[in-house]
Amino acid sequence: MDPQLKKGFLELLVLATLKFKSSYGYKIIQDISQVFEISESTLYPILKRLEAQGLVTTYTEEHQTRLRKYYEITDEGRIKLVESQTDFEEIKKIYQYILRKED
Amino acid sequence: MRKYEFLYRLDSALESFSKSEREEIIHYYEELIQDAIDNGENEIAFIEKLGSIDKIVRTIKKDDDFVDNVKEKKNFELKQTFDKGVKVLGQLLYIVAIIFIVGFGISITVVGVNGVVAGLINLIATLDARLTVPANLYYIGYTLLHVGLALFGIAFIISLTQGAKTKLELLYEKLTELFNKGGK
Repeated sequence: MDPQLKKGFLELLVLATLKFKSSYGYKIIQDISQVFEISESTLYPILKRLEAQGLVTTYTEEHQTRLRKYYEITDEGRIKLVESQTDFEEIKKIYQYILRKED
Repeated sequence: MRKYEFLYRLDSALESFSKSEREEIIHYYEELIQDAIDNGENEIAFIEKLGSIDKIVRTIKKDDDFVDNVKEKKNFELKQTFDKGVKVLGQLLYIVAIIFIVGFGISITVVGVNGVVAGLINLIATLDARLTVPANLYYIGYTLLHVGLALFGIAFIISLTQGAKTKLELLYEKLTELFNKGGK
């Protein structure tokens, strides 16, 4: 897939995995891998991006005598997810046009 | 490669990063590897899957520009307010210039009207005195010249003030916008 397109989708996929529950790096990768290919090294910049845009926040919690960083979706992040639905409708229309057949 | 060797090598490769970011990245990978091990994955195989350290650092660097851009966006808003201030100042200078030029136009008009009146009086005086034709012609010419001057002055003022009204409205809008923004 086109790298720019992939980046945009990965941001949304991360937000979607956090939709119901906060999560951590390893778990986020596992969840997303079920629907889309993602590597450990690509996730880090995406998380940083989302944080910089205020779409996720982070907190640290103790897990088995070590600290684990959790990512939580913000209200802005939820809005972004809802907005992506309109994008979906537009993308659908675009692809209907791209793949149209000659009359 | 084992976890500690990987983290050590990664840390060395992150030399150009700030201390806090370096720690954050190291912590991210340390946590990731530990979670994988806890989940029953093979340590060495998992680290191999992470890819080369070079590539990891490149991926982060490539995205850093974006994070910086988002931070700069806040500066951008400040810059916008500043730009608006400059625009308002520019418009104020424009208005001052207009006032000066209109003043110039008014003086031309006044000189013109004055000349018309003087010319007419003198023309009547010369007619009264039954002077020679050239003197009459001189005052007719004098009067007409000043009619032209006065008309030029009036047209000059009208053409200038036509744009000034919209400019004034724009200035008022910009000023209120600027004050509203400053008040926030």
